[in-house]
Amino acid sequence: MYDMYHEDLLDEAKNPNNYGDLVGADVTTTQFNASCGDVITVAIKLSADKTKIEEVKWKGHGCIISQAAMSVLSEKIKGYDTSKLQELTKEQILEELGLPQISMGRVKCLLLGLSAVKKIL
Amino acid sequence: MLDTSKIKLDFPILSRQMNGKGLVYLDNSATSQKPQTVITAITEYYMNHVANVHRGVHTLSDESTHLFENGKTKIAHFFGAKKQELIFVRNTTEAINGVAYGWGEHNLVAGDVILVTVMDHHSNIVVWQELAKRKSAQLIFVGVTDSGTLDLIDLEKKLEQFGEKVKLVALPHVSNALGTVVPVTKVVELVKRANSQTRILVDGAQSAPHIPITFTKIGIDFLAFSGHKMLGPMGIGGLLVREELLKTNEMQPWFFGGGMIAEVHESHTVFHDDINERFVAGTPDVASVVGLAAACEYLENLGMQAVLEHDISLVNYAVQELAKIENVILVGPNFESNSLLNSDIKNPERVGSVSFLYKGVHAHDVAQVLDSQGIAVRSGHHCTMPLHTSQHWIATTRASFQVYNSKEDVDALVLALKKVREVLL
Repeated sequence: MYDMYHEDLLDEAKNPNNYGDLVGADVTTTQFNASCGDVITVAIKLSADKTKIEEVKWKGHGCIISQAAMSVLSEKIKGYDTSKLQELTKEQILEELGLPQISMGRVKCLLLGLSAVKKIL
Repeated sequence: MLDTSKIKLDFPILSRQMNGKGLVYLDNSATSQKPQTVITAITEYYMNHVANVHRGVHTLSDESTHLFENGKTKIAHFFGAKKQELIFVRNTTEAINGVAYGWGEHNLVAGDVILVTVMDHHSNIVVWQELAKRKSAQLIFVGVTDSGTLDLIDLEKKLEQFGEKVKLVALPHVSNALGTVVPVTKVVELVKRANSQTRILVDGAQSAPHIPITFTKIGIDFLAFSGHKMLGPMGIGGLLVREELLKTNEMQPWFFGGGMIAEVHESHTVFHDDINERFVAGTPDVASVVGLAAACEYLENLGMQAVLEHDISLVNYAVQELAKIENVILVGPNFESNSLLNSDIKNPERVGSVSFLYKGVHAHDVAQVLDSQGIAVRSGHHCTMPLHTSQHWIATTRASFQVYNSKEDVDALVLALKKVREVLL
């Protein structure tokens, strides 16, 4: 079995990017994981023409996978075209986390943040 | 203790390697593994005896009918119930739904009360929420104490507060999240004293695999169970209904079709007089009945009293050893204050499983690291979100046992839990 909990992943979860409150957010969404009670809330500030994501902050609690995934995602979507958010995939997040694969039971953990982000549309 | 070195050999899957290690299966509250006798019984049925039951006059149909009927007799006997009190369903969830549709729809009116507990599995909550909506009835929760036992004082208070409005008390025999044993005899006494007409449903999903049950003697009206948690196949379970409720039509069929009828006319249908037939709409899952009967036989050969004693030894040992691990916080009844508490074989406090929190590490991550060591446990809220919310737990990790588990399996868990700290903290 591959070493899932590699150091960069643990560090990403322990010191996540863009964690906190966003004053003057345009959109705030929350996503729960029904199988364990984990939750992520994402706050986003949009450009004046509403086509780009200018700022992202998020908060929540959960396992290492959900927290690390949201951390890398929050970095990735800064400056992103909102029209392209729907195209973000599980594979892209796995790549960002340096994971070759994930078990079926952890997919919901991996995609918790992405589901919250996609809800802003 | 049972001779687990011999028992393990009866379960083919337990010889599998998992992530380079021998499989240590501790997710038995979710589902148990199946012994070769169960697998063989099902295969043998499909290879040699398949025919539809009750309808054919040919020899094969006769064989199949005998296997089905004998299987039903054996399973009912295992639970100390009369054969006609057993209705086959897919699982505990379907059994509870059966009570809602076959009994609740006909016996509840607006304003009536259904009592459940905070520690109930979602299947014993959501079904009643939905029925309460349909009937404009009230769903009221009985609390749990700080040590994870049923709050009997709260139960008494609510029975008194709602009086004759309480039509049903639905509760687990053993909590799937905490392992807590609910003192059913005491509950029956309190409920019947408050109102002898109140019906009692026991969710036996987690007790059927571990505790000897004599349905006709407990004084309850309904018992729901799943075959797959007690060494049987998936897709077969049972609802036991006290005979009187069936005879008086207080409990009625909720599935309709062929097999269950006496006469069908364009204007109406007369249902079968025989209770054994009245609740079987359509072709039953004969192979699974045969498989579950083989599972009951396997447990009976070990002896349910010995099975219970084995389980209590494992639970006690796990509580004792897990409590020694730094960062592990046990939840549910534990026995620090009285080491003899759980050794009372007639009234055990905790059966089947031990759940815990791991300081600073999420349960899913704990379970993932354990998996890398070949150990299968469950993490999450175990379909008990109201319990987890009330206790402010996000998610817990649960190790749960069966007849094939040994103290060495608990030792392997303890060793692997030490690895969690190495990997993640």
